[in-house]
Amino acid sequence: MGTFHDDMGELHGITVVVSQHDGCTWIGRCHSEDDVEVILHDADQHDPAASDENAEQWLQRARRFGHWPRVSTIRIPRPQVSGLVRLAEISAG
Amino acid sequence: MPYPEELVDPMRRELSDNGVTELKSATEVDDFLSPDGGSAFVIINSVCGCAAGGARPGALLALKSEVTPDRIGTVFAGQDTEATERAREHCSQVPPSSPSMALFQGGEMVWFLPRHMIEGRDPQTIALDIVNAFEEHCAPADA
Repeated sequence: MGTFHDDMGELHGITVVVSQHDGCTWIGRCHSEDDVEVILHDADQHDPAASDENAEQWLQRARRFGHWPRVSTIRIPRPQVSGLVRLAEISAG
Repeated sequence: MPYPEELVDPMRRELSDNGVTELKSATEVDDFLSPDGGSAFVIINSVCGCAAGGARPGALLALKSEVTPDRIGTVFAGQDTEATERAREHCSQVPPSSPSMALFQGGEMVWFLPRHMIEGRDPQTIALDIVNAFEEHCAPADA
């Protein structure tokens, strides 16, 4: 049994890390990404101004165990995005 | 909202026809993960083909290895809600995701494979991760 939505782009359904120019980081299941925005489902955000751990520590924890789905859907404007990679591609710390 | 059962049934049977016990209630999950029950492997199945399409064959491939847990079970996320919620309570230290897999010893979770480590990977690679976990946690002490 394979995927039901092969036409949604290669990151559709994949858990990704979205880095922002302002230092915040999102992890979520990518719905779509284009020149306008990145849309994530079941996402969580790291805000360095509001967290006791740094982004690297947060990413390493997520890499090992997954992320908490705190936000149902988030649309991140593309101009705010500085990086977009699969969570599974984050190197072990 | 659950998917139509006729759509889900082949995904259930892909596991249940190969010796994996379906757990459909909280009681069944609790009994399956009883602390005195040895090792247990739980596959949190899901419809999403982005990841589950590789998860099921990967798990089945791993179950052909020399070392396997005492019991193999599955809950179906989004379909068997009560059983899935209870299975996730047994994995409460890690975020919920599906598909995912967890290995238990004496009722305690000792290994977890989250969804993002299944997505986009081929069944053989997924199976290798599972087999490594089986060998680490389920091999006889004198092996």
